[in-house]
Amino acid sequence: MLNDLFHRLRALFRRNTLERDLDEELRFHFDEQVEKHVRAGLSRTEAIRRARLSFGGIEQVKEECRDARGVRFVEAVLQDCRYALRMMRRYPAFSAMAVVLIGLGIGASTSMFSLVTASVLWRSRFSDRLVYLWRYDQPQKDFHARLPLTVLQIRNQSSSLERLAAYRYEEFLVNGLNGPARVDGNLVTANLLDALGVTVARGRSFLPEEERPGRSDVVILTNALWQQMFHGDASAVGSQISVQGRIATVVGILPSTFEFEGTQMFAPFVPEQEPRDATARFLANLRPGIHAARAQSEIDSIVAGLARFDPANWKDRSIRLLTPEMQRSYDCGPTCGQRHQGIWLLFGAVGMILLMACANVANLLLARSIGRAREFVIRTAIGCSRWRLVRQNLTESMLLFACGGGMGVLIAWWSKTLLANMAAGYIETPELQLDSRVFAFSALATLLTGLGFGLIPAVKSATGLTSGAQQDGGRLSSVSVRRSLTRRMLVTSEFTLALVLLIGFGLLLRSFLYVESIPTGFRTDRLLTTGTALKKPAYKDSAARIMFARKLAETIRAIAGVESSALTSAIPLTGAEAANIQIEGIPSADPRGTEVRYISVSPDLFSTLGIPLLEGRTLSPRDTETAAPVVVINKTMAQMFFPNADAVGRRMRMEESPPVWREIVGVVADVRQRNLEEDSRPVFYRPYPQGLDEDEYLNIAVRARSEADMPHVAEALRATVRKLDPKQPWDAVKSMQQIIYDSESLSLRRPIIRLLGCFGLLGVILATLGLYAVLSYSVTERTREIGIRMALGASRSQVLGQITLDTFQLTAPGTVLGVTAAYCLTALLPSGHIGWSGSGVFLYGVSRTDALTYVAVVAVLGCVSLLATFMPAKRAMQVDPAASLRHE
Amino acid sequence: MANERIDLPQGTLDLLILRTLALAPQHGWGISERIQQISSDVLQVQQGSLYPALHRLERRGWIKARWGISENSRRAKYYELTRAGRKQLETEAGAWRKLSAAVAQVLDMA
Repeated sequence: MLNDLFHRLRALFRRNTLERDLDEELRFHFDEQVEKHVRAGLSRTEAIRRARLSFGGIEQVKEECRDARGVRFVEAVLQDCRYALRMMRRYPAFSAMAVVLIGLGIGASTSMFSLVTASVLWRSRFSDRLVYLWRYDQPQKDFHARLPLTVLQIRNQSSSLERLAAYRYEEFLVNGLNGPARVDGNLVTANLLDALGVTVARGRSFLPEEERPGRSDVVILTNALWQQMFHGDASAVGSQISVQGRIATVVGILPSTFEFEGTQMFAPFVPEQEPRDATARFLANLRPGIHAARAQSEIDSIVAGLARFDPANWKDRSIRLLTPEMQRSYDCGPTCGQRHQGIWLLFGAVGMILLMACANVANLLLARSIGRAREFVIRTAIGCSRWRLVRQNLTESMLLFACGGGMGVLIAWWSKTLLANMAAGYIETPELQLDSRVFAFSALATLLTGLGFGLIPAVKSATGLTSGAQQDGGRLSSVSVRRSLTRRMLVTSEFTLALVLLIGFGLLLRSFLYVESIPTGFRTDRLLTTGTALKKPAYKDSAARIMFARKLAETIRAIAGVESSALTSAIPLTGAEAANIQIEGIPSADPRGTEVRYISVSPDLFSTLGIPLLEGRTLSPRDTETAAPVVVINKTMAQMFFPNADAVGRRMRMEESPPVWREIVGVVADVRQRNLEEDSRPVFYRPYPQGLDEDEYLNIAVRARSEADMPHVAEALRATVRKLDPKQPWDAVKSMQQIIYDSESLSLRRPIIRLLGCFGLLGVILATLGLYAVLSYSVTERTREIGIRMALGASRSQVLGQITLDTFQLTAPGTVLGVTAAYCLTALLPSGHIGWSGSGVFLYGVSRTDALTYVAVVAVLGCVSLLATFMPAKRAMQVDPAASLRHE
Repeated sequence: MANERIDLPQGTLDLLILRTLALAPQHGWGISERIQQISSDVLQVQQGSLYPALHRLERRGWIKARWGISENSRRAKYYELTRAGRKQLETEAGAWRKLSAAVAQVLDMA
């Protein structure tokens, strides 16, 4: 076997030596034969004649010996390659054009693929036995993420689940190298990373004893936070930082691919320090070989046991095991965390670009092969087989595609920063990696497109060669008609793809513009905001928080250039806390109450934001801790609870201890509290002196007197809050316009629109190029025909009509196909009401059959195709009948 | 004389070459002469099939080639049997004997 390979390789690389040897060997044989004849008594001339006769064609013998070397195929391929290189040099403009087109297609799809790997494929995969435990309330048929912390006790009772881990979102106040900062994180039991199936990249995971008080001052950082705080310094492991006002040791760093519910930092859960009614989220692993259904039935029986001892928590409730997909869907809507939808959409778009670029190249190849028909006919005539001709042609195309692929990788390399910038806001990747996987992708894409699109012209040019082609160089023969049909089909499919791209882009652009135009419900101009979270131990109770807020409100009012200012626990478009409430006199279906949102505000919030009062009164400075508890509700909440009655004067109660009845004193208009797309939710506003929870934020909203005042008001705001409590971290001061600009509703859509717009433009250019090439070629091909027509009396406008008809015949089927394909494909775009976290690619405020989009796109492509017709048509009209006929 | 010659059946040339080389290393010319001589001129090897066969056997590793000096002091390519070639010869010769004996038996019945 090895010997065989060695011989074949030697045959390839030592070809000349072997040829010389063969020559010498055969010559020796020949001479010996001659000698033998001479010895037998023949004359030397006769002896040589006899020897030649018996040898029977020395070249044939050599050929057969060469065949015996077993490298015939490779040699032929090398020969083809050399020939293909010569052809490339002979048609430099053609080759450059083809290489650039392929380069564009491969380059775009390669960089897009690097985005795919960065965002979708690179995410570390969690254990495939991972399940989430959610609470299910039977009467309401409702899922809830949090379970009582006491569920940890069933750790040892279950034979179907292992590594039961608890975690709870926590905002950490971290004092690191860059001053105070608020960091999103989770308190977790020590086994959480094990249950996820993740190992730390540096340092170690938490130890079980670190769940106990006194041992718990340790943290694990994500790669991103480590980069941010320590700039990737390896000595960070073991160093100490201040977390929640205590000194904690960094024990581990997570891998860069790790992503878990937006966590930046983990700290150990200490169950003993939690209050009795503490809750947490839970996840676990199914034991190997255990089916989810069996684990569920075991959990059901365990919960039945719990309900006997703890009916308050477990009556009519159960624990449901959810798959990661289900839990994400329940958590934040069907498109939550579904950014890969947008990525795949863009990837699909780029695939279309690649196909269009390749179709153009195939078109060029076909055009050239018509010009070379004579060469092919001659080669066939002197004994070249069809198959050999196809292979030769394919080698030429493959070489072009290989060069184009190389160019594509260069383009991808060059454009990776550009792409990363354009995708920013959708995918946060510090830098796109062009690694072996990406290169493998581009190699594969090049190979497949090269084979696919190189084969069409290769087969087309090698088949259907008629003797007619020999006579007139292939023009106007049946061959060229059939070949031009292929070319027309290619152009038509390019038009189809361009249309699909543009319609998809158009619909998403319309959604974006619609969302942008949605009224927010308040005045957004000249507004500046910043916020913080008042936490223990610095702000240990409600009284401390209220005192700070009061001082803050007074200081801010005094800033020069401030027209009005207010405090609120939730700025519009950023969400709000949820609470269960009960209305006096209205029995609720659930004894625990109905879920609404609540915001704690200063009385001047409504005037500062410009939220109109609809009924009753707004809050007043007299609604203090000691005054009667009051609330103002929004219109949605009023309609929800009092559809036909007056809301003002009724009383409601939050789920709190001790429960307090609060009087509804007014109704205000709705404000987009969560995001722009979502319908309004029921919200009530309470005066902050009558309650400011630890979970709530404290935000400042300030309206400047004029646009010109905004910069120094912002500066004064920063200085004021820093002076008030230097240890308290505040968010960056942002204008309301900036918050709207950055809101998920718009910021997720923007990169998609931007990239899809670029791809759409590229698609139009490619389709136009293809159309232009075919028309221009057909005019050249028909110069004689046009000349004859004109000689016979056809007017220039009739010629123009002919060319325009040609364009129409090319674009009309493409348009029909494209509209149909777009109609079918846009069904894949999600639409309608979506949960609060979108993917940026769902249709909103526009139907997928939106006539305006379709008409506009068809019109744009129509105009562009007329543009492509212009040059060839002009040339056709300028044909001089006499000259064209003489030319033949 | 021409009528007495027999064309070689497919595949037997390899066997004959191996057998010839089992005696001593030999160049192509020598092999063809030897086969012709030993078979009393009945078997004649065509150059057109001899050399491709030699190259094929070499590629399979049954024989190996080396340049040497012939009896009349010319550079000639000598082939010799390898260990694998010797083994191959034994198998093929055995198979051939069995086959020819069987064919002879069938022909000689009656």
